[in-house]
Amino acid sequence: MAAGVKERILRRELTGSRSVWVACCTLLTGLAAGYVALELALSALNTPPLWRSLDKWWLLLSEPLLSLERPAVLVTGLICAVLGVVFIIAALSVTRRPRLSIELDDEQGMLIVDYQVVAAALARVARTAAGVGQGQVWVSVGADQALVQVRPTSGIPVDTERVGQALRDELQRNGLAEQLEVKVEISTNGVVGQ
Amino acid sequence: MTLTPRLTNRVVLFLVGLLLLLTGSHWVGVSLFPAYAEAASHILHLRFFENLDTLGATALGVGMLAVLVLFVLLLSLQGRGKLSYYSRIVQAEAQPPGVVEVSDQAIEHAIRQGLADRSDVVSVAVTSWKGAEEPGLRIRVQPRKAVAPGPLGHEVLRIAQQVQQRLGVSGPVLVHVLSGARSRFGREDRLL
Repeated sequence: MAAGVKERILRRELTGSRSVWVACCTLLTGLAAGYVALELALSALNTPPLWRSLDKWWLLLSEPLLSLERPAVLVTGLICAVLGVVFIIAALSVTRRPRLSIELDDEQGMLIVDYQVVAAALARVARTAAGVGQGQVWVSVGADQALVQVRPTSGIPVDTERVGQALRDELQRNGLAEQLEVKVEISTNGVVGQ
Repeated sequence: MTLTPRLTNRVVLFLVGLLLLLTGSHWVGVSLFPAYAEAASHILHLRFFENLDTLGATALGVGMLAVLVLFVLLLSLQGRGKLSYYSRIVQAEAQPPGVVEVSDQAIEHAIRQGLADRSDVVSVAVTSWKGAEEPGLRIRVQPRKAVAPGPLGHEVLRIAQQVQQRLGVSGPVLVHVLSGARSRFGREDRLL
């Protein structure tokens, strides 16, 4: 496999595409273009316009001060401008999909994992290391950090260092240690009666 | 993995956005500022459509239709690149000549077989995509909750590469360990 192909595939997997946006935008402009073509054809055939003839449109839109439709033009203009800005932002921004790529020493193989899967695995390890029950550990995984919050059982202290070490070992085992930084937070209020 | 034209999408989106922004701000300008409206009406040529001759009108109409066709084309390019079979071997010299196609399903069954002794895998789904040189395999594995994804992914990858070896093909393999509704209920939860 040529160099860079793997990177390209992974990039496509980890970032979102703009197909839905393009579908919306083509629908919008397609409708407008179709309407203009229709009115042109109607005026060429000397038949009455469907809505308004194009020269009436042009007049209305280039000099609305004369007309009563000024507020309508203003509102349409505002909507168009905002939509334009939104489209431009969408065109330039990068959206990450909630996935991580596990580095592999393999020419053809690639391995990607959902954030949620990693979070669930980390929650299991944190629960065992802290000796707490289900529902006392909350894990959130992002692109470069895993945040683990533990609510200890009242009266039984939790060793932060031990939990952190267990989590780092688990990440090591999964090949994610270099990407994710573990942050453990032990809650100050405990849970009663576990 | 598809052949969605990502760069083209972004360029089209940007251009349409720019056009919308310019038109929109022009309309806001004309309806709010008389001085701007005055200047714009001189430049924009109020009688543009009345002065349009047949040739100009035809050109404009054809242009609009071209935009329409181009956009339908762009829509049809989204999400392409899936294959209906993974490997295809044409045996032209054989008697009788024939074609052997191996579908995604066959690979899926082989991987399921390989994972049969693991009880922590909920589902396996395989699709293939048209790669630059060889078709690629995309394997979606859904484990039960709290399963370590690294070792599981490695195992799936190893099985897939064994299958590839037996078929005599090589090509990219992408294993995606994902979560879903079905992975939420672990065994331990249901025992109680």
